Amino acid sequence: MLTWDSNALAAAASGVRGACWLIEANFLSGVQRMTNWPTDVTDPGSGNTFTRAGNALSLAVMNESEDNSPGKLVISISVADGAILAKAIGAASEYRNRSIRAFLQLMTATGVPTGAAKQRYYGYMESTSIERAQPDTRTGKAGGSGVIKITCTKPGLSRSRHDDGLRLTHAQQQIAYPGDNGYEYVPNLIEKPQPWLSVRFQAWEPPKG
Amino acid sequence: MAIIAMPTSLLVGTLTQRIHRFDEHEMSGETGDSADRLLGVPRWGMSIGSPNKINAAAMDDWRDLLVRLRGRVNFLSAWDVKRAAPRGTCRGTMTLSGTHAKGATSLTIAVTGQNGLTLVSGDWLQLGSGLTGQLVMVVGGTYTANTSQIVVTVEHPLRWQFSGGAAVTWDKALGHYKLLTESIQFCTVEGGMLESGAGGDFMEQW
Repeated sequence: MLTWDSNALAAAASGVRGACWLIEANFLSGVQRMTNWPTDVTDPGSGNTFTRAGNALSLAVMNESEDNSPGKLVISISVADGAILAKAIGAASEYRNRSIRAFLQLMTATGVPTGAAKQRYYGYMESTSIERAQPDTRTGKAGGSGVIKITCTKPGLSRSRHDDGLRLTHAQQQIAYPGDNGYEYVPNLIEKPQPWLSVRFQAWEPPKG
Repeated sequence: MAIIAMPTSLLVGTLTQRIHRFDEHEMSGETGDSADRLLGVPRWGMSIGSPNKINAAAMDDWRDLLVRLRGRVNFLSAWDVKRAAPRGTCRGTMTLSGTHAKGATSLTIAVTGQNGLTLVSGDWLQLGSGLTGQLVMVVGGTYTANTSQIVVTVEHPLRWQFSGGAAVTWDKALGHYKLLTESIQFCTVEGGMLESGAGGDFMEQW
């Protein structure tokens, strides 16, 4: 459950508040802290300062759910950030399977961080790729861009994939709630689906001709 | 990235000022109750253009400025040409009195010999210098200095902390901008006798 401290709660409940992402990437050669807010942000909770990456940093849509889908998070960072670029094109050991966390930081209406940042994602950096959009040479317009994309996966991804169909069993329910027989016939129902067709329906024949 | 200063001799024909805000608006379709979310701090924006029909010497100032910007590589430092100095009467050396926190909108500015003089809504002040500084506008009416200080309300809220003693510039208070437009141009008119049409759209950057 997401619980805020009183300051963050006040910001969340207010009609106007700011919000930004704080990213903590644990590269082999050191932790990099970045934010998509346009100035450096100090988390009042941890006291850590996250360096602004401004428009250089964006997160693919982050879905929050309680299922075990193998959600991936893609973090995009501008290739203009030399420090990150060096890591992303360096040895794979620099980022591969290194942890990364994303925190949601609430702000006041004047852009001051308020309340401790809340961790919303924990995962591992899996692979990096660099994508470039070419400028439009036909019209001579500038506007080419390049981003480093770091794909991150949740811990336990393999287990999630293999046990996607895992359900609570009758035996487990008996341990948790003795006497509750709600799951007693579940395996039977799943494994032996029975179409319940009425006698009239089964006797019905389509009109001929 | 260099900072290219707007030359004082630059003939400005048009100047449009903007505020760029990056807010997300959420509204309940059922009740109309709304909430707004700031996704970034606000930025000043401006568009400047040359006057119509100026001679080659005047256009050379524009050429020099816009070419040296190297597109979006360099910053432009520019002031509001129609309000290079405050409409209020307060002058002299100004510095911030005490530390001003990020997000602050009330500034205490140390001044000397300005007793009874004023700063008024719409006056520009530049805090600090260069890309670590900030351009703010006085809002909320008329503020009067006493013998040692003047307290004013400004917008936008300070985007970072400023230390006590930081310079406050009122004479040609500078903002730092980068070009938004993708190309710049210079036009020749009147059969090559005069020139026109230089300029660009800019947004504050740091």
